[in-house]
Amino acid sequence: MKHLDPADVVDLMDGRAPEPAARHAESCPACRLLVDDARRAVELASTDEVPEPSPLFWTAFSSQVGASIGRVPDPVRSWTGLSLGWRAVPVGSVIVLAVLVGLAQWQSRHQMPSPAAVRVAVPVAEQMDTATVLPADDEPWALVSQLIEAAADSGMSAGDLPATIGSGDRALESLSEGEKVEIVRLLKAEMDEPGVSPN
Amino acid sequence: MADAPATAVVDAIPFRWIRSVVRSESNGALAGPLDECDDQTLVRACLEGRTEAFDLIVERHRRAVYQLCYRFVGRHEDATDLSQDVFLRAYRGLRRFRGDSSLATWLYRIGVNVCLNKVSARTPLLTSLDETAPIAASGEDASAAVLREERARRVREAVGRLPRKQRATLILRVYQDLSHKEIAGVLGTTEGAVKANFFHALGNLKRALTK
Repeated sequence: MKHLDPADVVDLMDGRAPEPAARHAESCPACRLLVDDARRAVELASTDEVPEPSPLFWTAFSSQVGASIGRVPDPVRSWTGLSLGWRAVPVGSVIVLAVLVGLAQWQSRHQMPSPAAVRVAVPVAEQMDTATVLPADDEPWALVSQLIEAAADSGMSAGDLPATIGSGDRALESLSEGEKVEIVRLLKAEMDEPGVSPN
Repeated sequence: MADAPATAVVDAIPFRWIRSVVRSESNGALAGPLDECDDQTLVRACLEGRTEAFDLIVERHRRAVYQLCYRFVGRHEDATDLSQDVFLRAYRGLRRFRGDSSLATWLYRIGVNVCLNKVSARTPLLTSLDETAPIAASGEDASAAVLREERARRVREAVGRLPRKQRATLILRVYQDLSHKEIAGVLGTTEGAVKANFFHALGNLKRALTK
């Protein structure tokens, strides 16, 4: 058998060498010397120990890492890229409305038999009869309806974002209960802001 | 909610919404204490916004990461800075951890990169005056402590003079007790290359220490 290669020597040190390599090392002084030297080097290297810091060091270490992390963006937020500053309140409300209206439009195109018949270019506030669409005590519906009316008053629906009859309630119907609750919370929070309320 | 600061409310909107959906889809698997969770679960919890999960990750791995950094730089202050940097980078890049390897291996990979960027190959390790003062272990006389420290200093210097890959391989194998396969994962190489590097590192070390 030829002499051991580096991988064989390392495997022999670890006691994992194949049988032929082990037999060769027993009979070959040069290869046995390689293995012994490698073992000796590991023993020498092992004499250097890392000094153990004090227990207080670890507490301070964790605190410093925590402080550093507090100064970098939340990985979840940087991942979604949706971090908003407080100045984005009005923009946020318009985005929420635009998403709702867009969703409603998409649904109306796929559910209504004649899209042309329902795409009425009149203001949303004139089209909607909230009392007949959902129960009067439906809080999510009331809030969304209120905001859509406000958007219509501000000229949003007369421009590039025409809405259709029943689009708001269809949008709401597509949401889960948890999402409805979240929308109510978000819209309430935004309407509590001075100058943001649709009224 | 009405008494919450407006900025906090707005900042939290999309993420809590997303998280609530994610959590409901996973049947609330991350609810409850994190102390007994495995590393993968802690990473997932951290990505879902439970920042206390990262505190636990730090607590579990700080010693190993510190020791790894210390092996590269040989100074407590530098090792502290580098290991904090490792955790900071890990936090920033947590979403890139896919769980293909263990979290420890992933942290080692960051640590090796950070340390190799810090120390250049064949640069002797700097040792502070404080650290050269030998401390006698219990039952050890002063002269034995001096000899032990002198031996350790020579080993540190010899390791510090090894080529980068050999140094990283030796540190991970001898001091961090990683398998050759794990080292291959950390260094992004093959197991055979790791064994070859380890063999040559040991040969160079032996020559340096027996001059």
